[in-house]
This record gives sequence, C-alpha cells and structure tokens, in this order.
Amino acid sequence: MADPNRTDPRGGEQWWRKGKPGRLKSSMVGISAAAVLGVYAAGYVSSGDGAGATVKAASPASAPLATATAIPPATATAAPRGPAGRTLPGGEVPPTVAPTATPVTARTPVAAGTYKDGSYTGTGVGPHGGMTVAVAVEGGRITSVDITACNTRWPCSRISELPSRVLAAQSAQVQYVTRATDSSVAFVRAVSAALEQAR
Amino acid sequence: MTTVTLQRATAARVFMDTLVAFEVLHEDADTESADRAINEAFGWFAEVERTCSRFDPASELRRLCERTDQPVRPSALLFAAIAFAVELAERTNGAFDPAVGARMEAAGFDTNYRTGERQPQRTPGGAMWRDIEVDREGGTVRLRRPLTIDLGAVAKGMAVDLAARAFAGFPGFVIDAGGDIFAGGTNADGGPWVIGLRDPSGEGTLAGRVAISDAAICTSGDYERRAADGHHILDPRGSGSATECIGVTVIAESAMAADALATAAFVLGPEDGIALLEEEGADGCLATSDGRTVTTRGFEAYLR
Repeated sequence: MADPNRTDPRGGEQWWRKGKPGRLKSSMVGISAAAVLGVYAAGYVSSGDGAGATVKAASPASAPLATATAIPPATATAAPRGPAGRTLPGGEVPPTVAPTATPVTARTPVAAGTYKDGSYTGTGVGPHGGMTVAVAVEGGRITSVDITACNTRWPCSRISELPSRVLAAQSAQVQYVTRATDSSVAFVRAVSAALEQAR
Repeated sequence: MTTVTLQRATAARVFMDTLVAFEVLHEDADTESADRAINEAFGWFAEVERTCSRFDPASELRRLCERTDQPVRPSALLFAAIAFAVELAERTNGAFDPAVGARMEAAGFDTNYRTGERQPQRTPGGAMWRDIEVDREGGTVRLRRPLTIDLGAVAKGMAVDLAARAFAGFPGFVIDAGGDIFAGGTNADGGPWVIGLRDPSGEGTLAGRVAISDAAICTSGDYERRAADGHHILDPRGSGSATECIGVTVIAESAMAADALATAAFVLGPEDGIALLEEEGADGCLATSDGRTVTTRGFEAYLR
C-alpha cells in the first residue's frame, strides 16, 4: 500500500485536482466521454420521474426509433412500463420503478470547518487555464476573497459573483456559474487550495 | 466560527437490478435545483434501462435485435452504446464482444429481475461482434445474422456518466450503481472522494482505498452474479467463463469506458489487460487467480 504522505509524482498533494494527464481523444476513454456528451445534449423524451420539470427538449436526432427501415413498435409488453409515447403525466411516478424504491431524498447539513486566521493564497487549474486567489480569514470566518491572477481562457468577469458566494457560504464549495463552468472549476480549486492551509 | 452551509442530499432507487444511490452536496439555496438534478439523473437511468435492456422484449435494443440484414437507425443513445461496444470489440479482437448475448442466456443469465420472467434463448449461439455492422456516418446498425446484443458492460456505465452530467454544477457528488461509481467535484472538506476497494477474494474486506475527483471507478469481479456453471463474465473467444482474473478495478473519467475496459481486461488477463488499460487512457489494478496483483503505471497515484 502506498504511503499516504508521499509526494505524488504528478506534483504535490493536490494531484487529484489536476486531472489525469494525457489521455488521447482517440482512446476508448476519449471516445466514451465524447459519446456521453452527445447523448446528454440530445436529451431524453420523458423525465421518467417526478414532476416532469426536468424534461429536456429532445432534438429530432434523438427521437427514438427513427429508422432507416422502421423497427416495428413493441407488441408484447411483458414488463409494466410507461405508455409508448414515453411521456408521463406530470407528477406521476412511472410504472417502471420498483415499488420498494420510492424516491425519497434525505438531507443532512454538512458542518463546515473552522478556519485559522490569516491570509492565504491558492492556485487552481481548470480545463482551460488556471487562477490564483487571496483569501483572508479573521475571527474564524472568511472575510475576503480576491482573484489575484487569472489565466483562464475566458475573462474572469464571467465568474465575478463567485467570491461573494464564498463569503456567504463560508466555504469553497459554491455552485458554479452557469455557462462558465471551466472558470468556476479553477476558482473553486484555487479557493480550496487556499483554505486547506487555513485548516 | 463558521456557519453550517452545505447540505448533503441522498436518494436511492433500483435500476438494472442494482441499487443506484446518489449523494449530492449543495447550498441551502440550491435545494430545488438539487432535487431537479436528482430527478433528472434517475430519469437517465430509467431511459438507459428501457432502451438497452436485454431482458425486456419491448426495449429498443430487443426490437433492433429482431431485425436482421437491413440497416436500422436507432436512437442516439442506443447507437452510441452499440458503436462504443463494437469499437472496443474491434480493438480487443473480440475479447470484449457485445454479441455474446445468446451465450449469456444459454449460461443462465436470462431472467428479468423486475418480472422474474425467464427469456428463453431466441437466437443461435456462435454470433460475434463482426456480425454487427456499424455505420458511423449514417448512424445506422445492421445485423448480418440473428444475434442477441448484450450491453450489460456498457449501459450501466453510460447511465452513470449521463447522471454525472446532470450533477455537473454542484460542488460535489457521488453516484454509486453497484460496481460502478462516479465521484465528482470534492467532498465536504474540499478534498477528493475516497473510495474503498473490495478485496476480490475476501469476505467484504477492503483491498485498499483510492482518492478520485471527477472520475469513475468500476470493478469487474467473479464474486457477483454467478450462474450455475460460471460467473457473468464469459470469454467470448472460448466456451466458458474467463478464468485468469478474479477482479479488475478501473479508474477513468468515464464510467462507460471504465466498466467496459474492466470487463475486457478481465477476459484478456493480466499482461494484455493492463496493456489495454494504459493504451486506452485508463488506470487500474487486476487481481489474478494465482494471487498476484498487477497495476497500470499510473494507478499507485490514486491509492490512499
């Protein structure tokens, strides 16, 4: 078993933030990642679940069974399942769900740690560049977060609300800015790196 | 002192004969969007199951398998799953083979877990992946002879990957679908998720722990889903179950790739299996039936 305190060959204790280097797009992992993105973008017809609020618009390309030579619709239906149109009325639990598996979401608060007072800097790298932040802690609370260097592909103004989210949450774990995920990733990693020194 | 800020939402349901469990970290203000994401993620599992099930006569996969010798254009989801499976079959020269469905049925893996109904063997054995013709430009599939496609090693991983997209905006989340796990973002302490590896030969003991973030970890082993005369990983090139390995664990950024590569490596055995993982952009470790453990060069970096 590896020594948990060793320095990782990928460069430091936070190697896991940097992602796996050097897999090729043409590798099976690269092909799989691209295929999943395509399927996700196409969406699905029925939410298959709950209130139906999560239904994504299905593009024509994803319409099931658009056939070069059409697959005939199912005639035998042994297993209980939704209507052939696969669009379930809002709020109805679809019949494909096992009765013992009622979707119950349980919630428990996660206590954030107490931070040591001081000034800390941290650097985080996302899929398209990195950034450095300065974080100040006074009286155990994060009192300021400044982006001191920004080398991301897109301007840092796109994530301008994230520092205030850190202050509100008193944690690096804030929700990303929509449509600015890559910059958000770098920011959250930078703040996490800074706050790890404050633990 | 800091205030309590993060919520940990958990939910679990059964899909594909497996308990699918989600854990999502979110802020108080994002409770609604977390619930929406959880619903959407379960919806992806439902969608993949009803599309790719080998046990449901009404699944799109089963209906596709009834069409021989003519090009068929499946949904984007089914086409992606089949194209991926056939590509891996080609690269492993058949050590991984989605056309193994008929022999899975013959070996006793033929019961729909939801209905308990058995699916008698419908297609003759002897078919192989070369009998599945995939036209990537046209998005069509043509079966050259009657065969049963099995997407067991692909579909669950794809569902995990799709669910992971649904959770992409949250600070941290874990999807656990039986042997397939995806851990995204960070845990509540801002560190990587630490996942325990089950000892393939032991009784619930841990062989080790790995730290991952935005990555999937999948295990193929012979300790689950045994039929009368073998486990569920058949060697498509021979007549019975693969015997050289007792467990393979694979880490990759995609669960579909990790699961399928684990299955392929299990069949290929230690030398070729590890070479495959390194070639295809994954890391992993493999336990052999004679008691050895072999890993990819990058695997040790994940160990805790």
